[in-house]
Amino acid sequence: MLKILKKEFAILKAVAASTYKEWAAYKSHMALTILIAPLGLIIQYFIWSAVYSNRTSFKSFSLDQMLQYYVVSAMIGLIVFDFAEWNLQMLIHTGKLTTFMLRPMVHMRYALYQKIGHRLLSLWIEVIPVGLIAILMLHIYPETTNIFWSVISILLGFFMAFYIDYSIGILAFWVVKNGSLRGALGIISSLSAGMYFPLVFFPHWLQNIMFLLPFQYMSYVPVCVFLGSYKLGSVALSIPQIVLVQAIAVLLMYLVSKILWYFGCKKYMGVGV
Amino acid sequence: MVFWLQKIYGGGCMRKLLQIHLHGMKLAFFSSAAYRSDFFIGLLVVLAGGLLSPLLIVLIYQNGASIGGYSIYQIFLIQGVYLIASGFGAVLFFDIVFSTSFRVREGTFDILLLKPHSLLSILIATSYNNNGIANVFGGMFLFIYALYHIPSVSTSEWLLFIFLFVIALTTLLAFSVILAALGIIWVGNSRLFDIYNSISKFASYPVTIFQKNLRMILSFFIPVAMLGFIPASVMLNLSSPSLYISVICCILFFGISLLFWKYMIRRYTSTGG
Repeated sequence: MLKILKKEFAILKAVAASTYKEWAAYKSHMALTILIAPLGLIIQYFIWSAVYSNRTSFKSFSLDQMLQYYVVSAMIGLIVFDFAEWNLQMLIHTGKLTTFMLRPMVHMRYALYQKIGHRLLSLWIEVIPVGLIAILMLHIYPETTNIFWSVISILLGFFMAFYIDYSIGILAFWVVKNGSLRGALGIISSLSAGMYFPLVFFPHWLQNIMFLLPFQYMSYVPVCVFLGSYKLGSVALSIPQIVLVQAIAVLLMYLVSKILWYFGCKKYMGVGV
Repeated sequence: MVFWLQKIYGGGCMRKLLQIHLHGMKLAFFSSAAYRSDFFIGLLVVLAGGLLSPLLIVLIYQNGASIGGYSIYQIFLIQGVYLIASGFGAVLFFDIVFSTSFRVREGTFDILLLKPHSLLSILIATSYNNNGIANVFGGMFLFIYALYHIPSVSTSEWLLFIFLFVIALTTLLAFSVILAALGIIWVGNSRLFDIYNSISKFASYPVTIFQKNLRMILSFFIPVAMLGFIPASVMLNLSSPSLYISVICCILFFGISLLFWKYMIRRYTSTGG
């Protein structure tokens, strides 16, 4: 068992390191986040400052908590960010997936290790600078008392984002031109993941529906765990409880993506090889 | 008649250029028609993306809060103007950003340089994109809805609004020319549009909610306010004499963008292929 784990870790290290090096050649692309992300935060800062100019609380958020939500959400959004679907649909449409089919490694695992390498690079080019900008420029201090659960929840969010994104990419087995469909699913998943604003802003009935969808586990749940409380619709859970639910949801999503992959491969004909 | 046949800057005559642009529009239409379902889903995606800011406004106002003393209809009007302008920009010329970046990377940019017409004009003619029409309709809906709920607008205000709207489109063209020019040396940077996207978000909100220095930057130096707030302020009776300074700044901005484009074209060294 230890031998298998050691071998797997060696593969992970090799794939992640090569992806890291590959993307490190395009550092400036990623570093643009240092310019882009703070602009989004600045807009939210002024909008919410204007909203709170004549009130102290909005939907049980204080101004400080609201701004913290946006900063933590931006940082977690960068950590869990995924583009596996784009890669996969490109491989399917060009027939390049065939080369992966011939390798003694499932493509899904390879893509996951690629993501690990990519996001490790992002950690110091995007995530840490955005956090520092929020602290130094906007004086918003992301603080947590649940560091252990936060780390677990962010890691689970990382996997959830991957399995959701990969499943969207698998749709390319059935739909030839799927750019718009992927875009539509991208907007729905980002909105339902609380990446634009806290999900508690939505009507109560919609929050209950969102609880049943997998998207909130990518970003909203990790942000709530970081900030110390979780509530969505009629559901209010303690931090360990919601992290447990998140872990089960990730497992289910993993199974869904595996099933989709199985049926997708049956459709694959390698057109374009 | 003579006007149509007269030689114009970059080569060719007006009649020929108009024919090329009409042909470009026809091609864009037919390429959308080839994948109709993808096109219609694409329209919905663009519309949904454009309506995210109004959705946040609805959620804020539905919960009894407001932004800087503005009514929801006033903000809808600003966002409606912004959506219409950005929609027209997307249909008519914004794709030159992607097109330039893609052509430079692939090595096909050189083909355009050989054409006997102005490079920028040919680039625009080959970059029409029908998807932006969704934002035009979404913006129109917001704009008309808001108009019904604000005091009536005089004819002179309408005329000034139309003039400012044309200036807004000119400013958008300037943004797209600058980003396209950046794509010439920043080869294959897929995030050029993200820069504009994050800056332009400021246009969806009243400029007065921002800090004084930021307001100055948005009104005069990077005149994003012209894309939404300034034209809308005329209809809301909120305009100030400084709007004419903004108009001059926008025209200067457009001039600078053309100079920047020429400078970058001179620096272009053929790559890819």
